[in-house]
Amino acid sequence: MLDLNNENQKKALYLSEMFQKISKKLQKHEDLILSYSGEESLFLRFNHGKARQVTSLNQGIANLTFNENSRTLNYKVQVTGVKEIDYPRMEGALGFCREKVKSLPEDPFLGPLENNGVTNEHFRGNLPCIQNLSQNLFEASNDLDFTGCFTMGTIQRANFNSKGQSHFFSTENFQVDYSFYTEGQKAVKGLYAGINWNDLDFKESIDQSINNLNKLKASPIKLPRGKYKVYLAPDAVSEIIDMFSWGGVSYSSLMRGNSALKLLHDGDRNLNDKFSLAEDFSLGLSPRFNDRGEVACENLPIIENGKLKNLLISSRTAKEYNVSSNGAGSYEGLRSTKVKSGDLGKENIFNALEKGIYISNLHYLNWSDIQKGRFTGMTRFACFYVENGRIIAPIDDLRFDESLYDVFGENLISLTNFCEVIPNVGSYGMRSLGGKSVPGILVKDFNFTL
Amino acid sequence: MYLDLKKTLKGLNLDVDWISLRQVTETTTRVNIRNGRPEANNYSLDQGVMVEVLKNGMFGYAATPEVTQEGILRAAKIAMKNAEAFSPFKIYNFNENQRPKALGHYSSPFEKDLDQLSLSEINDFLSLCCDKMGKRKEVISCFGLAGLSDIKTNFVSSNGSDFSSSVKIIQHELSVTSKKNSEIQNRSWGNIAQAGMEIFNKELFLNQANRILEESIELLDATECPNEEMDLILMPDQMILQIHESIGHPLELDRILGDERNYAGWSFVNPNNFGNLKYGSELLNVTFDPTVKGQLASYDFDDTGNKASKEYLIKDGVLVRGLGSLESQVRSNISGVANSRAVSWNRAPIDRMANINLEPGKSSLDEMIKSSKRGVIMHTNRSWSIDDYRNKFQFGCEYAQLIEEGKITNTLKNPNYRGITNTFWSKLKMVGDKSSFEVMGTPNCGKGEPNQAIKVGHASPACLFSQVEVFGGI
Repeated sequence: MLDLNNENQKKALYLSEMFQKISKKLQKHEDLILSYSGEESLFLRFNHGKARQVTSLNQGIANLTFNENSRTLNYKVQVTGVKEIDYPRMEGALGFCREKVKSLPEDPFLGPLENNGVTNEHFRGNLPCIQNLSQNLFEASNDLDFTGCFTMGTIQRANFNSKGQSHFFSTENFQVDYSFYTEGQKAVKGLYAGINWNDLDFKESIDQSINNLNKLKASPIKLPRGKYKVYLAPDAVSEIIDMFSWGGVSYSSLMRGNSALKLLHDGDRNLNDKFSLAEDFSLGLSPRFNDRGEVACENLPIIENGKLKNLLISSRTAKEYNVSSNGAGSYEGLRSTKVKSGDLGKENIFNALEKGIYISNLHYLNWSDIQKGRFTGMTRFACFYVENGRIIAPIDDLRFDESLYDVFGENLISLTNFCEVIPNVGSYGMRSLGGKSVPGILVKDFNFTL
Repeated sequence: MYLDLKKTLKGLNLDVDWISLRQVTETTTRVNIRNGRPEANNYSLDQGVMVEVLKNGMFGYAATPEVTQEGILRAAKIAMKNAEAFSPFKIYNFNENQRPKALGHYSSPFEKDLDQLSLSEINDFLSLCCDKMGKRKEVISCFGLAGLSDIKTNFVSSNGSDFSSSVKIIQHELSVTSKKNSEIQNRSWGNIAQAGMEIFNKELFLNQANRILEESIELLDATECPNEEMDLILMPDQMILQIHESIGHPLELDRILGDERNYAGWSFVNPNNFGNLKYGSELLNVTFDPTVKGQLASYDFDDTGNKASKEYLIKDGVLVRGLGSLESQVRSNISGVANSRAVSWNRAPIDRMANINLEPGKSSLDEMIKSSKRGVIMHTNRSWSIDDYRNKFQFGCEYAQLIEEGKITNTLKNPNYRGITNTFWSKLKMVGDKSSFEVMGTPNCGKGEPNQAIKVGHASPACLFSQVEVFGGI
């Protein structure tokens, strides 16, 4: 039974009723999917500990997929929450699709529509009120050079189809994605995120960052290019794992000659048996249903002990290449990722690094040669040169050019025995869901080129 | 949905110092064809209103897709509350001077309207291109994309602004991937511009399809790009990326002011550099030019009502002006441009590039090639990365040619180069004339919190740089 006091559940009911109404107008051989993404968000940008820009946003996008026999057309339109606007808009969209689809070529890779069940998940949060927030945020920064963005609100995803499928997911969450800068332009990055705001937890996060900022006050050293032993903290590892979603774990990318994992797939290169990567929806960061409402299994190993176990396969790819789908979205990227931890304790990281570079974050990664699994990028934020297991000084940023097959292959020394959960804070078009749980890694001979 | 914005604005009656409404309605059609078969036929209608209020020196924003008097009133009250709540903590005490009165209408140029080709005709057109690209046995994937957008914007404000724009944008791309044994290579061609359906010229597209097909096959047996310091000629389809990353972004005043430090990054340029920093060689002349007919980011007014005009950013190699809105200009006391832009109704405007162009010089491409004893010509970007201060970059291209003793002698695969911004631009030795000048654009320039991927234009001739660190694959 839905609790109509909850705005999210009201939205679920509104969308469901809207879909029921429009799907009654479907004719023989016609099918419809409604994939919905919505948010009610507040974004507060701040710089130098002051408010720069504040924006509230309410938006919801319905992506209708209309199938007639083996032809298909997508129609994307805003949902306002006002019946008098939305219902005629949906009917107009249906009429548009019905008229246009007839002239389109048949799509041989259009999979049959199925009822993938009914799910309903709501994560209610405890978000700060706007009046308390401003005090909390700017007083906690203690007059330091504090910059970033505070975001809070509701994110909703839903999926309905004309076979009876119905999924709804909503979460109320917040993120303070921030950095503190020294006068010497060195910075510490922080993220306080969750669904239940707690003033003390926030202050602890800020205090920890301020404490780390003090380590950056020494003059930075300029290291020559070359190979160094490095510790990549979880945030840095997360950046590398993101690359797997961009021409990596996608089966269609492999088949189209655009996958960094081809060498692993073909058995031409190996990865270290310490490295395991999985899609793991038990993290609770993302709904299991995809943009077609298909439900992925809770845990899908991608790489297990260095061996490729699965690639992400959407239903469309499955039909094109005659393989089985595993509930991947049409993009075939990672949505909720878990990298298995290792045995390196937090207290032993600097001793294990001994002499090398401690890297907290990476920046602007891109494939330099995707066929070889080679990627380039920069160090960013708090990175230090270490000798005898002790920080010597922060470093001037370095460019690297490395291979997945070295970083997660024979050069991988160890992984930490803890993982950090790193939510996806992206907001292109709309706030994202998903994220990952990753450890830090110790790597030898990391190749810096500039 | 039609709404009289001026009437709506008058009916709001809120206790604010200034208020504006910016309505955006965007319809988009997108067709993807892969290997001659439909991959996506997408249509979208995106519509909404951003309300912006100024109260107690703070701008507050609220966006709604509910384009009604009631919906906009609700959003306006939220925008006012936002401004009130954070004005005690504001970074600067803004006023109405940052929102000048603007009147007028801008229409993008086009010859054939967007309905001159039906959805099925676009499918057929791209399938024909795929047929051309897929005719060799080495081809494992070929792809065609057509994107058609019609964007209408209306802006009204309490100080009398009433301007609008109607912009039609065409994006197109062809790409082909070929394979021989374990070697896989890709070539692509495309552009995005303010234009109409006249862009879809069958002869042009089939010629380009054939060219990239042949070049992708050629690359399968090509020599690896050498690892050495040598002359580098960048063709316009790589120059635009070089300009974008190492000139456009570092000159954005909001970056220089630190607004972007937590996400997109800062800049090596500091406020004292304007008027005296030698950014590159004396041949380097770069403009902010939203007046180029048909270029992707041409407009009359930015999203705050500031009148747009052509301005030099770098003149004879010296940095003279920043890419900063009226807000950034008053905060930094640095000359800027009309570049406060939002990606759509659901985002507040921030400092963006519009059309950032490298002005043509006097050299023909032949003269550049003849002048080089040993060098590489690189075509079409495929990899890009630069640090958060916009200094240390590494870029890769799809296709390259070796120059030896003033002649092209060989095709090279996996070409890359790296450098540091000011050092690299100081190596600019020859700038192409109008014969190699191309007007291009990119649809996805990412920046901002919340994130915004906006359309920007770039134009450039081919350029020659001396002694650049060039390298290939492993």
